[in-house]
Amino acid sequence: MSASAALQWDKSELFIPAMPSDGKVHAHFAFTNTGSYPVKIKDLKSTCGCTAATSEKRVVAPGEKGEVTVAYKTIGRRGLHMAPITVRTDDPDAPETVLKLRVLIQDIVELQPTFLYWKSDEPASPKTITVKVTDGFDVRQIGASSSDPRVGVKVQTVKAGHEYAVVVTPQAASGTVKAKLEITAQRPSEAAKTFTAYARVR
Amino acid sequence: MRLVVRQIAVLLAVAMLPALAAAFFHPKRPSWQSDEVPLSAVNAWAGRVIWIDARPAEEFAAAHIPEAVPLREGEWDALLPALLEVWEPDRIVVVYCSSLSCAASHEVAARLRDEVGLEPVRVLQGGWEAWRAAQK
Repeated sequence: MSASAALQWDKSELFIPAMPSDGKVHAHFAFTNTGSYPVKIKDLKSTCGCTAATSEKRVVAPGEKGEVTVAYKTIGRRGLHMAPITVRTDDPDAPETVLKLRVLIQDIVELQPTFLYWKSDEPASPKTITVKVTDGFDVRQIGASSSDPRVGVKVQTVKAGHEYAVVVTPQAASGTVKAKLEITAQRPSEAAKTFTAYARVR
Repeated sequence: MRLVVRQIAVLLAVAMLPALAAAFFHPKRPSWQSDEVPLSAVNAWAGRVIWIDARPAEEFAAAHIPEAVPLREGEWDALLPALLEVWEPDRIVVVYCSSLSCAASHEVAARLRDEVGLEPVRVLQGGWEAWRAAQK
């Protein structure tokens, strides 16, 4: 970022922790026009349909403060996401500035993997879905069920409150067996939250 | 002087041990190998590719690579089953989105590998635009 640019940003990089159920989280990039001429914000561009950037001020007078507000959709998302926002202005010293928003989206538990597969020539040995409780969440109980009785599920505690194993065991069967596995995480005084995994036996 | 140099070398060597261990074993270590592949490589896998379209729904509806399966993070739970229905272990998943600074394909690919457990999963270099240009 140019030191002579009129718009000076308090921070050009922000980090937000979020949950998928938040729906939308907001970040605020504050700026000040430290120059001697007004600056027009021509355009705010993001690279993802999950991000929307707005600024109440389109023309920033010398000495004026403002902010670019970024709304980031979290539904369905997991993990660390980078959402760059390009701010285009009429300032010749800083025609483009890239603001960086990092959003870490974590649910109360993380499942891995969410798909188990047995090939036709593979023995019907148990396979495991690891359920890890995200730091800061108090999960006391994990439950599991299968949509197909030919695919059995059993929950084992690896470390209470931290890690569990959902052991999935198919019965030897001819033909394809597909099961939707529902894994529930229970917190005190909260409704159980359900997560989905899948199992397929060829 | 030689003693100082030797001491520096020992300190560096000792510091390298945990660093190397983290580089190899840390679960969140960066991937040193890009997951992008050019269209020419994908064409060589003819018949074995499952195309995944990570673009917005309206762009998929307008046009997409034939037989591509839509998969977007915002509708992950709703769209994933359709991919799992067609996936086979001998097929290669290739994800694409618009080449215009679109990170969605990499994010979808990473999630398919890390969360769903599918392999191999690649990202089409140049995205939808590269495929379209090759059709002309």
